[in-house]
Amino acid sequence: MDNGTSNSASENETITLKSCDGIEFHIDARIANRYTLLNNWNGGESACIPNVNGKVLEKVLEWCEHHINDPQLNCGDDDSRRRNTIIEEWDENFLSCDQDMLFEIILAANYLEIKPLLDLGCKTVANMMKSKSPEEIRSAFNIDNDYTPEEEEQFRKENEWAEDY
Amino acid sequence: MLALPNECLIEIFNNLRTNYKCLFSCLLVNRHWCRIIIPILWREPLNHVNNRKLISSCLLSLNAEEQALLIPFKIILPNNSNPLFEYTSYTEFVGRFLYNGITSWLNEGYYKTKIHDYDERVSAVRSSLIAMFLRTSKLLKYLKLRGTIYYSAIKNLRECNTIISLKICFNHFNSEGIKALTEAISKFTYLTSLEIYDRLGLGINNIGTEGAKTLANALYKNTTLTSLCLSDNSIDAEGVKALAEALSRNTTLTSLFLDSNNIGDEGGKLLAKALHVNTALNCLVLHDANIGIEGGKKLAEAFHKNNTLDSLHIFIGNNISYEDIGHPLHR
Repeated sequence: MDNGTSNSASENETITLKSCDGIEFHIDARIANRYTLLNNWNGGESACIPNVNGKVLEKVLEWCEHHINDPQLNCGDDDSRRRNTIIEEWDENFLSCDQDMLFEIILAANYLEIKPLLDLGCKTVANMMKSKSPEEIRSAFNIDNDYTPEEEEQFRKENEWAEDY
Repeated sequence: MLALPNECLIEIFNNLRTNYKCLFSCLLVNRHWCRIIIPILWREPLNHVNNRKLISSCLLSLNAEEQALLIPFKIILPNNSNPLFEYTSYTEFVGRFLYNGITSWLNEGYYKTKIHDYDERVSAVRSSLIAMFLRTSKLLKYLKLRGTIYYSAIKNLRECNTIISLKICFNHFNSEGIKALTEAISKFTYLTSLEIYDRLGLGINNIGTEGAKTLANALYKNTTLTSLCLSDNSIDAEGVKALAEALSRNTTLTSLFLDSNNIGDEGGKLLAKALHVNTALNCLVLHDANIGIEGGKKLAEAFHKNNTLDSLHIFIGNNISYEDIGHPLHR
């Protein structure tokens, strides 16, 4: 880390994590201290993180490393998390990857309980939906329409109040 | 699309929770998204959306009994088949735009000209919708009852134990209605804010002495309520006595508005006595309460003994001047 002010005693300690496809990562122990679940897989030799492959884990850890000095958020404070809708430039660049990778990152953040990264990913997806018609959203995310025409029409009618707000 | 678990989808759509236009588009994407979005979409539209179409959709949820309230006025309801969801079961906020929405629904769609029983029609629609919300909303947190609402419409209020904030203004409940109302409120276990008021001074709410006693009884043991406003409710010294007794036991209420009631010197003294033991109240408002010098001096004395009270408002509309007391009553 290039930040000379970081003051944790464990600054030079590293831990080892292994992805489900066997790739090892040596990371700053302070990252694992922040996200307790990562600690569970410390010691890579025998344990590996199921469900997260090397490519995704690398991205997740890159994010964690960049944000290592962020103030810790109070987990119960849902409102303060949501009020902040601005996405920093670094994060925006970080998440302008292809859609599959974005979704993989969200899944991994959810699985590893890295809440701020999960929020960021969800916010990014939410922003991708803004100002789009249902059809545009379907094609952007490759989703099939399984409504019957009558059903779709009734849902449209019963909720049309929302259309102008 | 890579399948995201529901918890992630909920998180995504929660980011859009007041972007109704976008939620509307998303809910038409497919059935799965629809099921996740409906509860978010219907959580608090009446806090954000002033729209007669919203009222139309709410009217679809009326049951036969609620519809019957509209029959005498030959009010024509939107003729849809049964709604696909019980949308209002997800509603947490009822107030603000409900009342404006009803007026625009009546004006725009159906009753263009001024008619002699217009106010009665508004009351009927209001009552039917309030009755429906009280019956269907399982998560109701904020409720505002404004204007004339039939007593029969609030009979389910006692079941709405999820309410945390209740405002009641300009109602015309009779003594039976007040009794049912105050008894229902007394049973609420999550209520943090209660306002029964009439800011225009029309003397319409009038929970009166009996209503004040019922509420005081509940306040005695209550540990959730932090804000209570009973402005302009024709509460006299006897009602104040019950409230003062409750105040000397209660440890959670931090602000109390009793302005525009006939508290008098006697009531003032009773409240002063309660302030000697109360350790929770920050703000006590007693404007326009017919308090004289004697009551005012006792209250000022209590203010100095009490360490938690930050402001005591007695100088407006009472027979006490600042000179009578000689020092400010706020810290």
